[in-house]
Amino acid sequence: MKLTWMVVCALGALVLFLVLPYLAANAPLAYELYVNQKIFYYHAPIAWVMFTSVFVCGIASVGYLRTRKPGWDDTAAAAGDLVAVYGAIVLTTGPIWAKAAWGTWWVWDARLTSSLLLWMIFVAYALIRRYGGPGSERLAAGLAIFGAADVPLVYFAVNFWKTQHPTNSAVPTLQSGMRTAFWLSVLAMHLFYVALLVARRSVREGERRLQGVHDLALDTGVLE
Amino acid sequence: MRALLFVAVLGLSSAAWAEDVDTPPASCFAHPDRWTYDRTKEPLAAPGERFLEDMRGCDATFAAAVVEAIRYKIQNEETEKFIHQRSFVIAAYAIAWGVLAAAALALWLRQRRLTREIAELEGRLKAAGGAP
Repeated sequence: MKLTWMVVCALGALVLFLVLPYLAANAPLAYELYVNQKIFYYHAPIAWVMFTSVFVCGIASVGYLRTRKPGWDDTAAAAGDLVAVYGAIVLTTGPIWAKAAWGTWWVWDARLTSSLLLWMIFVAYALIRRYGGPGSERLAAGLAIFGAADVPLVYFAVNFWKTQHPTNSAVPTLQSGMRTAFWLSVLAMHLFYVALLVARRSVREGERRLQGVHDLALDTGVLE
Repeated sequence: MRALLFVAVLGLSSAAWAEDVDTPPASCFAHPDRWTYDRTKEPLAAPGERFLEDMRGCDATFAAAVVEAIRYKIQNEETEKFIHQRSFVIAAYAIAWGVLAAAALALWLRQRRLTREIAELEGRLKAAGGAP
């Protein structure tokens, strides 16, 4: 069942990934930003996927802290790792856009800085899970909830403070040709995210199963 | 006779040409106030359009030459801008695709290695008589 979901999502995403460059290339040019605006069709949807993954991680962490069921922990761990991956893409494609649009790679703007902090929280989350030892999953769960609470701050940073980053009104005011490319990109990125999440969760289950078999092999003297 | 006719035709066409390239009429560019710009009332292009209209009214050929010179300059600048920005767009797309593909590949390889290790350990346990 999981494999079916993963394959369906991955195939759906791949089909859309094939169509997307064509749609993005043929979407109308934006005033002032011109060709550079095409980065937006990947950068913004990937940032949204990052937020989705933070929420998945936060909700699964709450589930784990309440029930202590390993399934919740697997989901949280998988989503947490993917926040680090998607965050790395956001924090790389954003400065590339900024260099072309603003002439500088980075400014300590509220949106950029809070995004960097969010990403660092989830890098810390991954490190705690990897090197924290026994009980680290509970500490990591707490950190994930803290990270999820940070998302509204990142999203509304452009409204709370005067920032150089484009405001959240960029999406609702897109022209029709731009809108199709953008929303299909959002769909493709989320489908691919689901496929990666299921795959990463499956790896987590495999790691736990291997640990179980390994312990049994040690107990029975098969391994020394 | 033929030479006389040739000189007469040449003289007439020279006179016609001289009339064509004569100085513009006195009314040309007589109202520069038409080109003033009020940002609260009209877009930036509006006074430019009026200036072009006046210029075409004075001398259509000269107006075409100015438009052509501006077009050339803009095409040059836009081409440079496009080439410059294109490299950033390609870099951003390559990173997005590359990282996602690397993540998918890493997961697939890890899953394959886990499956192999589990099968190997279970096989050894089975051989030793312990149920996995």
